[in-house]
Amino acid sequence: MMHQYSRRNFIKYSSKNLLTLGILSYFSIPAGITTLHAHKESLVSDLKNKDQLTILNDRPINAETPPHLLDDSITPTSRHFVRNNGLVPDLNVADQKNWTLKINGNVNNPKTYTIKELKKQFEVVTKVLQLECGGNGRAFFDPPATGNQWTYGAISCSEWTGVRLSDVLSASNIKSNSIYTGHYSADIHLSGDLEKDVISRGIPISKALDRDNIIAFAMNGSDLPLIHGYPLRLICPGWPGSTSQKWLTRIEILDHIHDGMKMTGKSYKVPKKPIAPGTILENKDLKIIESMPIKSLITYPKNGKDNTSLNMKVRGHAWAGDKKVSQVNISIDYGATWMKTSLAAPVNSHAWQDWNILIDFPGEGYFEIWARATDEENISQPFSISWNSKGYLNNSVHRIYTNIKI
Amino acid sequence: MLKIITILTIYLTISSSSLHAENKSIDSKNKILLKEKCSSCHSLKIIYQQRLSKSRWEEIILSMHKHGMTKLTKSDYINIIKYLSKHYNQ
Ligand code: HEC
Repeated sequence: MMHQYSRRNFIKYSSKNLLTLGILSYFSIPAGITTLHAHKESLVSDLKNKDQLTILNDRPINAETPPHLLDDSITPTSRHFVRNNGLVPDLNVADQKNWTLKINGNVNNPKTYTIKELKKQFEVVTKVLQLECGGNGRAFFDPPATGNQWTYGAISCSEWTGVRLSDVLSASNIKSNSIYTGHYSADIHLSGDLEKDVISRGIPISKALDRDNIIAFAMNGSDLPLIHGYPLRLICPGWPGSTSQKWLTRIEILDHIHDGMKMTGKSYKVPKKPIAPGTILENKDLKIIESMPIKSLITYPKNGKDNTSLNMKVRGHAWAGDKKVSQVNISIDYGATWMKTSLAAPVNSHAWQDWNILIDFPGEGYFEIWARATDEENISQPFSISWNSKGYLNNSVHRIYTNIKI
Repeated sequence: MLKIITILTIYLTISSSSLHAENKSIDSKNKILLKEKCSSCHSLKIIYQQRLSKSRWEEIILSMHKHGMTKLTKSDYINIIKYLSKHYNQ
């Protein structure tokens, strides 16, 4: 298989690391992080940069951003969550020159590009795009769902620069019976088995041809950090983050639904029919998650912050997968009454939308502030979780509290 | 009578504390076992994040074989399940 060839090739650089697989090298930066590749300066500085994030797991590295640190309209690199299924590959700067992306499978014109060729042959675009992990909000499932216990912060909206996936696929002249993509990358399976893909997800061709998907080489105006997929990654905004393959080496076009790693089991799937919480279903009763649902986040004030005036500015963002957000409402009385916020248009399609409101509190006391967004098809965020065993798609309303003390 | 009660009390105290010590050492042995068997691929943090029923822990461990974990002996399996369902129960 082609992708194994390319991974072996790159392994030349990292064979030393593989010998030490299983032996943790403990580094003191930042708190909670240990990594096999800690001696690699680029990864170390990527991690140092993330020191305000909450570390959920250190091997593989997974970290989320507390909501109040997601206040910026464009998520700074230092505040972008980190989701890894496997080990970060050990790359050096030379790889940007030698890196290739293959487009093959069910196409009339298979291609291999260097990054330089991608930049030369296709229009380079920059877009602000939201990216959310399918398991964001898992921590609130009852009974608990397995996996990293993400609370709120596996969401971002950074600025990505690259070429359009749709342009690159068109240049390969996809055969008309194609229905799906399969994405391959250079990260290393946790077991150290080089034959195994860490994760290889795909998307329907209809989504792949959306002009907002980007094969990105830069994030917020700089080369991608290693931890975010350097030197090349996909961004498929609005869909579970797992479709946005990091360290991208190959895209295969398929005449069937992709059967790569984490496509055929229970991962990134939800029940076809509603179930009682706690019900464990067989694979055949699950469907692949496509667009992420409507959701919003309060990013100011920080949860629990006291306020010494009866007025309070409240703001945040809202997003709706492939759709637009039509309104965001706020309640300070547990959902009894709602106030409409002022909602901005997205800076481009698939960007999240900023909202804000000035709240007049009726007096002193303890208040919860709830945010609830509604999408353009009039679908709103629910108040509780539609349970599934892997803990996906919790888009229930975000709640924070404040004490008003004048 | 008082003597008997005293002896009985002492006996009970000794036996229960040694039972306690034994439990504790089994527990710490199981913890070491968990570390030995379950931290080669990922750190234990992914395990400590979970709160699962015994049957779901069994499912998780069985699924680790699919990822390439060497098959556990029956007693290791039982001891790891015992440890996890004691400390990381739903
Ligand atoms: C051969 C490598 C390997 C070993 C050894 C191993 N695991 Fe895992 N484990 C994995 C991989 C790979 C994943 C990621 C699975 C996924 O993302 O679905 C994982 C994920 C997990 C998870 C998270 C599950 C989820 O739903 O995301 C738990 C809990 C876990 N392992 C527990 C254990 C326990 C307990 C042991 C020891 C009995 C163990 N693992 C040993 C490879 C291993």
